[in-house]
Amino acid sequence: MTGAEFLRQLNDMLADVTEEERREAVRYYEEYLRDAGPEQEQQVLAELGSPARVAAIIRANVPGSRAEPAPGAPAPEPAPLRIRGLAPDTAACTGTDAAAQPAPAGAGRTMLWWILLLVTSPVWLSILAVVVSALAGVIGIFVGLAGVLLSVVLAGVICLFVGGVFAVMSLPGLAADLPNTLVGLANCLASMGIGFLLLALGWAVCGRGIPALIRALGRLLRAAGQGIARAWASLRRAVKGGD
Amino acid sequence: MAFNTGAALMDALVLSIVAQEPTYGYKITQEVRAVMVVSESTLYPVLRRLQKDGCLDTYDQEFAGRNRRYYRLTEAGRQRLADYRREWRDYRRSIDRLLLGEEENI
Repeated sequence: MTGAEFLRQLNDMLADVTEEERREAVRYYEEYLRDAGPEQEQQVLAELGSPARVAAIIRANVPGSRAEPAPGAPAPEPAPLRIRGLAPDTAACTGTDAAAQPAPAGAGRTMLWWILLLVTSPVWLSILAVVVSALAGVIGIFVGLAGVLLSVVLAGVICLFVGGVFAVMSLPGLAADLPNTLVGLANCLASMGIGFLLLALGWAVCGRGIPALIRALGRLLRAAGQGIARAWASLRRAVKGGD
Repeated sequence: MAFNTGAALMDALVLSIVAQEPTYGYKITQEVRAVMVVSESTLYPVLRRLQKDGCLDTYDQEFAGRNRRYYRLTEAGRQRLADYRREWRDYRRSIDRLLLGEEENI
């Protein structure tokens, strides 16, 4: 095909666009082929494609070019644009020109957030890990304290019990060996006294220490929550500012 | 894999080429094709649309015994180009941040 044939066919193919658009387009391609020069003509014609294809691209992409609804199949989209120096698309991506059809801004932003969340996962996952282990530590301290308390109370009960039992058991020995039995009895009474003291300690800790501990824990958790919320808010601001 | 780029980038490139000096369709096409994989038949609708939007206007000037049509930037086109350049910087920054990471200072 020669350049003149191309232009004539293009003119025929554009029969359904407005007179003005047809003149403009034919004039443009006429000049285009001249500027390319006769030695480039065949190469340019091959690159442009058939007059039908060029006409379809004009119809599809020049606003207001249609004098009447175009009959037949939908016009071909121009090929997706790609940056030079990079290999062609893989098959899966070919023909998807996402940027040509602007996605809703909200969806794009949500997508960006997900990507950001994924990319920053090493940071926030480690922060999460620290928070979780801190919580586990606090709970561990709590359980440990409860264990100590339990053993204090248990020790008190054992002291009371053992002291009482030995005291009762030593009573028959009073007549046989008064001094030694008295010493033994004193030991038993001392043990029972210690038992009472330990129980009182347990009571005091249960009544006052544990509520105070729970209050302190609550304050700690609230402060941690506020700190995380503040960090999140400033991260959001930083991301918004950078968009 | 290649990065698909949209119609807006094409508009921006055309406006930027014409902003340097008024020039003609074939030359604009070659300059765009120097950086982007784009069919020769893609540029005409872009030029025509930018012209209709009032971003470009044309004038004819004699060259080698014929009239050649030159495109030049209008005031609206200058404004549009400034907007595109600003948007491009923002876009590039976002992409760089995600793709290259924070340590890359561009």
